[in-house]
Order: sequence, then structure tokens, then C-alpha cells
Amino acid sequence: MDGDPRGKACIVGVAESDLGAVGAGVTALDLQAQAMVRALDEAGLRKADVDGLFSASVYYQMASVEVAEYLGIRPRYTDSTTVGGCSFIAHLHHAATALRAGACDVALILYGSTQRSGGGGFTTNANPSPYELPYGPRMPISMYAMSAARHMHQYGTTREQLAEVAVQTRAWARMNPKAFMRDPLTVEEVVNARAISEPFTLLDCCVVTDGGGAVVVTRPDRARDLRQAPVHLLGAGEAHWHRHIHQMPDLTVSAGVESGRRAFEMAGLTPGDVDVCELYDAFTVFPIVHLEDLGFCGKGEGGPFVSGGRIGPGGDCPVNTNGGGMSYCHPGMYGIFTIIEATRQLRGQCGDRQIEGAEVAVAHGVGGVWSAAATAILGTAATV
Amino acid sequence: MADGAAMLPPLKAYQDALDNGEIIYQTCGDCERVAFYPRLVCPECGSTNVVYKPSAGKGEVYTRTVVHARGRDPYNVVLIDMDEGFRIMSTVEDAPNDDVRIGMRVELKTVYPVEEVDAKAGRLPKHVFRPQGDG
Repeated sequence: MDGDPRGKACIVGVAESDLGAVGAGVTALDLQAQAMVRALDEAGLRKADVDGLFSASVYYQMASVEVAEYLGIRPRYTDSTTVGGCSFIAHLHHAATALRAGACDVALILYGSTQRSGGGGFTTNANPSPYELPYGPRMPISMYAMSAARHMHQYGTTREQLAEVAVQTRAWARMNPKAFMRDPLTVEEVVNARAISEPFTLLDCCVVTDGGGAVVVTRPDRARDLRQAPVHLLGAGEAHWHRHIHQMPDLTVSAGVESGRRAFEMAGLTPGDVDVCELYDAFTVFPIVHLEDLGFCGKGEGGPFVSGGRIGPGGDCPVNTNGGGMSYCHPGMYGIFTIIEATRQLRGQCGDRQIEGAEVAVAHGVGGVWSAAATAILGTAATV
Repeated sequence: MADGAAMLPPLKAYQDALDNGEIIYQTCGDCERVAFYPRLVCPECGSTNVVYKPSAGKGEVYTRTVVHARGRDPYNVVLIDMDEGFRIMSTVEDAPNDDVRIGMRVELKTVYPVEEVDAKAGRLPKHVFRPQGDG
């Protein structure tokens, strides 16, 4: 489509802040500063080059404004779009569109959270629905547990297939020195862990960590002179359908169906062209539904699809090669880390967990309770 | 809603109905779409010609979870597909949690006139369901 940012924007710098448990007193802004410095440094850019700023937060309502003050950035294009954990994938779409339009030249996407060390329990900016709050669902665990229960009922997905996701994701984490959880994990351990919100046990749930991330995006002409091999945006899409779980028509089908279709159409690619998937995983049911919604398998086939080691190391559909939100890092919102890992895979920088010859990657996420979705298809220079 | 007419806030209409032991929903006077929660506009066609209706209070469990939280007994949370064609969140009483299954028929048991005040959500009466009896 005319105006699509396909091939008009590329990622030239990515970085995490310190991850895991950063200790009391560190703020979400501190982590964003760390991540920014590292990402600009690997790109070979300076803070003064940044004129587009993108951020979302559960701590700061005016996320890009707050972090811009701390960092001393006065952007000419700013975006605090908050659609849940996938916000940063949406930001990548917005940044590419702004770059294509000339509204900015160097875009910086930022996230930081001290979800683990910050104290005061799990921090969320969710607005409880008066039609749901009286019934005491744990937000968002119970909403996704009800989705998983429905998936099991509707398609015969098994408890063990859900556990497979956690086990294979852990196998990837064991190859990532930055991963929070690196001990071996078995299906039995996942199934028999303490019940949280049925059918989920503790080990169906992501880790809760601190962490921040930064992604630097610019136009291909500018990228040519920078330090990293540019990773190109081939396609991007967004969608949202509902906010609260009782408004979701089918609890097994997310708005990722639409965001994914839009992204693949823009890229002119299909799931068969993808070498590596980085899919937002807060709970074990996520990758199963994502793979269905994005078209890697049919609706309802996700349980059998992920079984037998297919999404783990050595499998033919590698998913969450960093260890994902399940085992590597999940500081409240995870979306930016899908972009970071996809970029590193396409640059060939992932060491033991590198997917040989990876040319096309998908970074995909949801926000809220299957509420919003954003998808980005990324590729090496050869794919543009 | 005519200009100048006093607006009945939809959330208040819902809560007032609950206080009278009833769950209300809406149908659109133009496109006939069934809607819950109550709104000022039809979420299908955008019409303001929305009509409040009382539900007969019967439906089927669409999905369920049992929450295990420290310091209290496990409790179930369900989504119920009401016979009129809308979906609500609730909880099922008078049955062990393990017996609350997807597809089971349930009916409105009662409404607890809870006067909890949540800073964001306001006053929150709470309906509860039970397994549907014969007849």
C-alpha cells in the first residue's frame, strides 16, 4: 500500500538495561537511561541525534515526556501510546511511519520497570471493570487461565501441551547468560507446581523481573554508515478488539489474527518464510494462541504443534530463543524484548542459541487481556 | 437520548437493577444487536436508540477458573453466556469448584448488596449463580 513503511526503516541499535533484580532504589527511569546509552553506543549514534521518542509505562502516565526530561531529550516527534505489553511493537510501527514521513530522523523506543525490586506488589495500570472486579479474578492471570481452559475444552489442548511451552522456553533460557531462570525444567514439574488460577500453576506464569530496553530506528540511508548491520522492518500491523475479558467474543482468538495478517501482507511474506519467532509469553497459553493466530498452524492445532520439541532448541519452529518472558525476563511489559532478540538473531549475534542463517523474524505481542495486538516482521538486508 | 433530557447513566442503571435483584442488558432499537454492558450507544451501529431489558437470569458456563489465593479458600470465577445472547463474569455457588464446568447450565441465585467502594469502579453489588434446577 502507498505509504507503507516497508523497507523504509531499520533497527540500528538494541540493548537491555541491567535485568533480573536490580536492587532497591533503582528507578524505571534509571533502567531506561542504561538501555539508551548501550543502544546508542552500539549503533554509533549520540543522544543529540534522537529526535523521535517512544515509550509506554505503568509507572508514568506521560511516559515519553517523563523519560525525555530525565534524559534531556526534546523530541520533535513523541508517542506514549499505551496498548499494554505489546506497546513497543506498536511503537516500532509508528516510528517507521514517522521516519518514512520525515517527521523524525532517529527514533528511540524505551521501556523500563522495577517490577521485582520496586516493592508494593505487582504494578499495573489496569482499570478494573465494574462488571468484573466483584468476582475477584487475579489480573491478568485469571483472564488468561480462562482462555486456556476454553482452548482445552474447544480443541482438546492438554495440560501437558501447555507445560511443553514452559519446558522448551526454559531450554532456550539455558543458552542465554542473561536469563533469570536457567535450571532444567520438566513437564511434570510444571504440572505439579502450586496452583495459581486453574489450569495454571506457578510455572505456567512468567517470571517477574526488573528490566529495561531500548531500540534505535532510522532510515536505511542513515543506517548505512552506522556500526551494526541494519535490520529492516518488512511489515507491521496492529489491532485491538476489546479491553475486558468478558467482551472478547472467542477466548481462543486474539486480535493478533488481524495484526499478523496486516504485517504479513505488508511484508509480502507468509509464516513459511519466517526463520525465528519472538512471541510475547506471559503465560504458557500465549505461544500456542500466537502461532495459531499468525497462521503457523490452524486454529486449535497449537497444542500438538508446540509438542515434541518443535519450538525449542533444534526444533523446526524456534520460538523465544532468549528464554522469553517465561524464563529470561518479564518486567511487567515484555514487548520490547521481542524486538531486541529478533534483531540480534538477524544480525547473527546470539551465540549458542543462534538460528543458523536467520533472514526473517517475527516479533509479536499482545496487551491487556488478549486486548490489543501488534506484529512486526523483520529481515536482513537481503530480504528487502 | 433527546437533547436536554436527563441522562440515566448506564452503569447506574445496571447497579440499580442489580439492587432490585435483576441483571439488565440492552438491545439496539435499530440493528437489534444485543449488548452488555449497558452503554449510551450501540457498539454495533452507533445508534443511541438502545433499550434496556431484564434478563431471565439463565445461561451456560462459557469458561471458568479457580483462583488459589493465600489466606482464603479457592473460589471460582466464570464467564456465563446468558440465554439472551450476552456474556457476563460471575461466580457459581452451591457447587464444589471442581463441579463448575464449561457447558453447565446455571441460573441467577441472588445479588449481594455489597457496598464496597473501589476508587476506580465505584459501588459494586455482586450477582452470583447456582447450578440450574429442574424446570
